[in-house]
Amino acid sequence: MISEIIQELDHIKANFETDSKGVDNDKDLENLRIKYMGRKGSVTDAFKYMGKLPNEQKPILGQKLNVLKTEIQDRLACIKQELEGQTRQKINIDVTLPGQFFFLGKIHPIMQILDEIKAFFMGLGFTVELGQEAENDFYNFEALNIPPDHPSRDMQDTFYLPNDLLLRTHTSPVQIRTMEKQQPPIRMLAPGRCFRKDTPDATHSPMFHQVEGLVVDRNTSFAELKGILLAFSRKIFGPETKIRFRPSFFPFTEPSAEVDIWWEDEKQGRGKWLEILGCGMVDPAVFEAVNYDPEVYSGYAFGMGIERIAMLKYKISDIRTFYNNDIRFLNQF
Amino acid sequence: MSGLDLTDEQINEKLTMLGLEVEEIIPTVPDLTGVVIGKVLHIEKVADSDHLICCQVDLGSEQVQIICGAPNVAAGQKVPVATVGTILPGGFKIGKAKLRGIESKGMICSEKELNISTAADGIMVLPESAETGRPFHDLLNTPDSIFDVFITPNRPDCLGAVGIARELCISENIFFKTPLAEIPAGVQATEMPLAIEIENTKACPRYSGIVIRDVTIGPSPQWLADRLENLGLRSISNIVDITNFVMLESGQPIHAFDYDKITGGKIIVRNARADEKFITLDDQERKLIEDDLLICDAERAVAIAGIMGGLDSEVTRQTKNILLEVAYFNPATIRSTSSRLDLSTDASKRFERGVDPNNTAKVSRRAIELILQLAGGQINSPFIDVYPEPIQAVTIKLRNTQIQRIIGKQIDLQQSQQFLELLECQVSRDGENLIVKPPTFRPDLVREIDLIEEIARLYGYNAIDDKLENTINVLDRRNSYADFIDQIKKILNSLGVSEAITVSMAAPKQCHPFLESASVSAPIINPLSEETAVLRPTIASTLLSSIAYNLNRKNSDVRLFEIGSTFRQSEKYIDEKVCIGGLLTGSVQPKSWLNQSPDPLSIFSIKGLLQQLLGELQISGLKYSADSPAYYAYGVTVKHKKETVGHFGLLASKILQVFDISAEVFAFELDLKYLFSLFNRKKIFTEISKFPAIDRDIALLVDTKVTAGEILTTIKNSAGKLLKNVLLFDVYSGDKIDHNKKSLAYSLIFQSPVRTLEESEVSQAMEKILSILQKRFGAQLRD
Repeated sequence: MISEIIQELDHIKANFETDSKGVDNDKDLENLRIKYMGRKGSVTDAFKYMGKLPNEQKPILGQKLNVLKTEIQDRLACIKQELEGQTRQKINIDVTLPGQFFFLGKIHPIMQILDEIKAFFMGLGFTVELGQEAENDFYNFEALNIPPDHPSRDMQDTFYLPNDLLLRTHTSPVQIRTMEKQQPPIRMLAPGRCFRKDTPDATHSPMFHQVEGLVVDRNTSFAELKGILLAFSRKIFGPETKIRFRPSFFPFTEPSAEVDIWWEDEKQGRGKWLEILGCGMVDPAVFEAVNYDPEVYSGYAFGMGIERIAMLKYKISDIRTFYNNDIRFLNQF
Repeated sequence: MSGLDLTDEQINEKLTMLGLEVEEIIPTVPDLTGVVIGKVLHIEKVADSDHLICCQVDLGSEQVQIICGAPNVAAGQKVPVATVGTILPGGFKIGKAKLRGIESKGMICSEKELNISTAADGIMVLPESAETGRPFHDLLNTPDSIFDVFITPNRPDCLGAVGIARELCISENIFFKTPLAEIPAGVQATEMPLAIEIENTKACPRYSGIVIRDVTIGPSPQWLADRLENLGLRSISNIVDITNFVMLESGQPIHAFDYDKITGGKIIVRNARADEKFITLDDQERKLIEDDLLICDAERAVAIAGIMGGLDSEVTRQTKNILLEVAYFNPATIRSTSSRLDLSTDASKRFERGVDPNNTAKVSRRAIELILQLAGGQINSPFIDVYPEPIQAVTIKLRNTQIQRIIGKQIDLQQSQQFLELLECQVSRDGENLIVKPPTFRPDLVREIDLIEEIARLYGYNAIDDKLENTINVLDRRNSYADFIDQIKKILNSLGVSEAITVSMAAPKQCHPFLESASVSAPIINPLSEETAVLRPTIASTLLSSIAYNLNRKNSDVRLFEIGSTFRQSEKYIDEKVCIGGLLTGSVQPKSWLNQSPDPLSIFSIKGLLQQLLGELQISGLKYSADSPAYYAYGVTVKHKKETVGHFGLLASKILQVFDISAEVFAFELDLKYLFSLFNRKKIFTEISKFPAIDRDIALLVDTKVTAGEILTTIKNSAGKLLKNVLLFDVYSGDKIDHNKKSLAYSLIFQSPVRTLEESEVSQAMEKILSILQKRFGAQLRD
């Protein structure tokens, strides 16, 4: 008896599979539901067999019936969902129409590079110090060991202002001012605008941005300067970056170095060394100008042009592009 | 180079890593690809030409016919032939040609055409041994290369080839030696007198001179002329060329006078007299001051010391006898005169950086050797050398501990000593210290730190191990002003305004219209051009150029801000103020299919932008008044208490015309430091009420002269604590109401943080508000 009933249940299930194929609208779905699950539907109908079985067989059939009921309910729900999905798609919208445009403000690419630089050094405990652009001779030259008749002034062509002022040629005056205010340890960054009397062309601008760093403490050394700048270069230019330190001269540091980065030109498949920053150990004469004892403290300083790094990273060939502020340019960064 | 065998690339690498940056390597021999050695087999005069010759030339692989115009061509010669397709130096491309109807395939070249010398008299004839068909450049010696080296100002010793050679030797651990020039001894007749007197031995510590008689002035030999030309100097005559050549070799400038123009056979080194005038050999009259140093004869000045000789005493074709000057001048003296006269020469550049005071004799011998070789003559005076107080090498104590401390690497003291000895320092040990006497050709080595740098340099910067252990050190300092600026930038970005950067200098015509008076404009004393002659008084005075740039390129919605300094000249100072300025043009929203005619920006767009910005910064207590500087067509001043924080408005058309802008441009500018003083960075959460809010709308009719601000204040003050928010949602004046009235519609929101409000208490509050508004402004409810 029970095996016949179970056969009957399989039969109901097979019929349902056949009937459910091709259901493509709500009305057919409702008819399908009524045919199987309605008050007189075949599943509901099958429950009547329960009364005709001996008690010990009832649980077996009960379980089979429940499985069938759940399966059919799930299928119906599934079909219902599919039909709803189809209905939503039938609403007639052209999804290729452009979406609403919102004005989005951008940070200038020079400042984006500066932000990356700041993030690296601030993570090492550097503070950011800002200064003034109209400076005097003492802070821009003299305190930096550049006396009036020193030939290194040849390297800097300065804009002069009335009242014995000048436009700072580097952000180093900020370091002097900070050292005057504060005792070591010092770990600072000085970003900002600088001015040199260069006629504008693709690689020169009378105004540009620099960021300089200064560390003064009891035990800083050239080896540490090297370590920090290698880590920095890899942060900015990628973990495989190769750099080299090359002896150079700055009045305010000794030993002084220039740092080159190995730059591969993807198009030409060739590499070359490109200068990206200058650095060195703070010259004792600078410490004397701010009343630090060079026998107690040593320090290192470094400086770089932000435009140059932005031009390298973003492959910008003309520095003047930065200052036109074409929104089609700004929007690319 | 003897003792060293390095390729160009190795030299480049070594010099660069020594701190002598090679900027360019220029081959002295041009690219002569395509020029081959040919043998002239047969020549024949071209009929109806007086000079053209038809040559049959064997090029090894083929035989060609070439028409040649040089008179010296002859059968049997080996000659350089530029074959068809060759591009000669100077860009001339050899093609097939027909001359007088005769075909010519190639060109027999002169030295000048090959750019290997200036000799142009006929074709170049090669030695018999030259192998026919081989490339011509096989014949040339390994060609020299010119190294263009950037010498930092601390290294005057490298302003001569000898100094560079010395550095290369040092890098290879070789002690450097220069040969002492041979000069014949004993020709020291004294029939031509020479006396030297130095009045100012501080400015001129040493002056050496010698007379050479009966020299033959003439052109230099080719090798000398070529060398000078390779180094960028023009060949003038043998004597002048020798003085230049010796300077380029040794770094020590020397000068040759025409001895017969030196009155009294006497040289006096003295300071100029006030207002003394002197004509230099470039035929310019120079006005001198008392600090300038002159070389004089018994009667008058003959040179500005160390900078330039005079027109009267220079060596000419007629010169027979010369006086050779080799001196040491104080660098500061030369520098100050050179920069004051704006006269920089090869000599002054070297003297002002510091030449070796103890090398004049050696350099003199070298110059004399070359003069006797190339111009003949005889030494005709003793070598007179006035050097009253010889300049001694300094003595420096170098502590081993300092080397380690500064470099951060333990370098063996023995090795440090070797490095310094290679540099020609005299070094002795004193326990853990070195006592060092640097050579006088290294005026940059005077302090302990200078020696430490040399040791690091020779050890190799890249051989010093990188260290990072000491670098992380968080200090309890923070610059909240820098953070504040970053925050402002983020807020403006989110409001759709992009950051711009402009050059903070502009033309006076772009800046003066922003000022009450041109006298407060901050000028640059030495501007690059009129276009950048003053510092900007407002951000707009430079940022407008970017607006114009965009508008000219059909970018019509432009919203830019810039943070930077603005400048004004006051009586005794330049007032530098950091501002944030913004310029906006275009519409509120971009034009699109969703909104074909978006509203144009208005002054309330700018006010809203600023209110959002200031709200985010939690800056309150600002007042807006309807006055503004004259460069706005109309605008608003933002004040805090009595102080002006900034202003905003529509820029006046007279300003926009300066920048050729026809669109409307709105501007704002705020004093950043002042804003920072108002900035509240504390953030404390206010509990959001769980109870429902009740809102009531009212429309009020008031006289047009009543302001929205007055009404708002009154509503807020009379509503009691339950009023949470007031929103003005409509402003109307027009036909539907009395012409001197306006309608203002508000939505008032009431809410309690602790309970649900009763309708009746809200109604009571509304009645109270209305009655006060009625009393104070005669406000009526509009139906």
